[in-house]
Amino acid sequence: MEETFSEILENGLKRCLPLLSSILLLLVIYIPVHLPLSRFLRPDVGMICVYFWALYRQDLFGSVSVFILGLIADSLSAVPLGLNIFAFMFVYVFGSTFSSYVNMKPFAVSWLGFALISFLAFAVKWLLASFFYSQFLVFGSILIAYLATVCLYPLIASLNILIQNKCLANEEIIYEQG
Amino acid sequence: MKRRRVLFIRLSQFRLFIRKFLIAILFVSALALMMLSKADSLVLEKTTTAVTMVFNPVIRIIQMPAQFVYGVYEKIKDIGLVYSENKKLKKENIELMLIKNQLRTLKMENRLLARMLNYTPPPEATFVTAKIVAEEGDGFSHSLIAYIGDADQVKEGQVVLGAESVVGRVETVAGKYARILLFTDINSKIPVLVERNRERGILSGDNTTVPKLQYTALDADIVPGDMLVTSGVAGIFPAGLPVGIVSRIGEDEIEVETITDIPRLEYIRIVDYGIYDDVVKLMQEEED
Repeated sequence: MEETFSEILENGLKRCLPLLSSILLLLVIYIPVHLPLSRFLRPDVGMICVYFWALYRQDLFGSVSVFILGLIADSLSAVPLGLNIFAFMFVYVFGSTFSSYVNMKPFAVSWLGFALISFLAFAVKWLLASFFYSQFLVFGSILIAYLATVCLYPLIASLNILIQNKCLANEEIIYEQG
Repeated sequence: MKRRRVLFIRLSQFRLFIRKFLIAILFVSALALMMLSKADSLVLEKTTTAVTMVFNPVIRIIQMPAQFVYGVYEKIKDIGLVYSENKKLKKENIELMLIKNQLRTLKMENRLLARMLNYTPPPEATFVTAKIVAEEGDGFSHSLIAYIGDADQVKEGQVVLGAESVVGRVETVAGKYARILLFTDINSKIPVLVERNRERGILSGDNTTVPKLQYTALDADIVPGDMLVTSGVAGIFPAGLPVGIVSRIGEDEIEVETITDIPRLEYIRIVDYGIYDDVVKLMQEEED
């Protein structure tokens, strides 16, 4: 049976949905919030999205999507170009390896996995940035950003689960709502 | 017997190779980009500018509902303060009127003296007020993105002022947006001097909220509370602009507190003192 144009468009959009939603969530985090602590507590939403989609939908979120997301994150911030790409790729590789283990396990397992992998990713990012600037960056503020990222994981993951189960559920359902 | 031609790699084999090593290729590309960005590549600058031009309008649109709610909250908060603010402003107004009269007299006197000395005054600074549309700040970088609209005069390297002091400089201009590198960023180094006794130093950002004063004389007389102003050395920043206040003197470092409350900053002023272009021209001439 031949696909109609609208079906092709719909399928194409569905295939891009994880990347598009990740870009949108990434952009939201750049909105100025005018709060005193906003300069410390800036979570790495991109990292959460990469980990989530690497765990559950590698078929729709490949390494090229990770590269694009990293490129956007790098371009919008003042970090050296390639730093976020490297960190996201790192999370993607570990996330996809971890994928089969997490499948059908409680949510806490994937959260714990994220806490572990993202810690390594932040450490790699810190090392690379320190190498780039030829001086060690203050690890304290990076640790705060890491903790904020881990704490925000359930919220961003819930949004992604919603997108998966509402829009991409033809293939599989990650967690039943409610 | 017919020989098989093996001169070129088949396309399918090439595709297979790419698919097999894609992740490794992307990792290497990320590292290569980092190396290239250290060398200030023009191609990379254009790439980041293009990405910024595409995504900044999206950030501006998605923040509109949040900005509206914040605006309503601020207005309600302001209503409660109107009476006391008005009283304070009236008092300030009287004081300012007196200062204005004094300034007028000084200006006239200055003009007369300048004419007597045949002195050519420098061009007056012009500025553009821009709204902050995006902010980012963590242990890796500190920057802002401001909407400059059609302001053609905004250029890389220009000074950015907050409400009361210097907050950074323009790093890149991408269409209607400019990225501001804050002076708390690790890439920022500003030559400063202590206003009280003209002791010199370099204010270095380290991606924390308290930049450090470095390269001061060993016997420098610096105490907490000292105001730091730009020294004008290096030509990027004109002399005399307030930057920060010394907050703590440790064994190895001097911490500086920012004067402007950067997280609460909504608007900035991008100032063109007309000196940056001249400095760049001079440097290029020296290189040639």
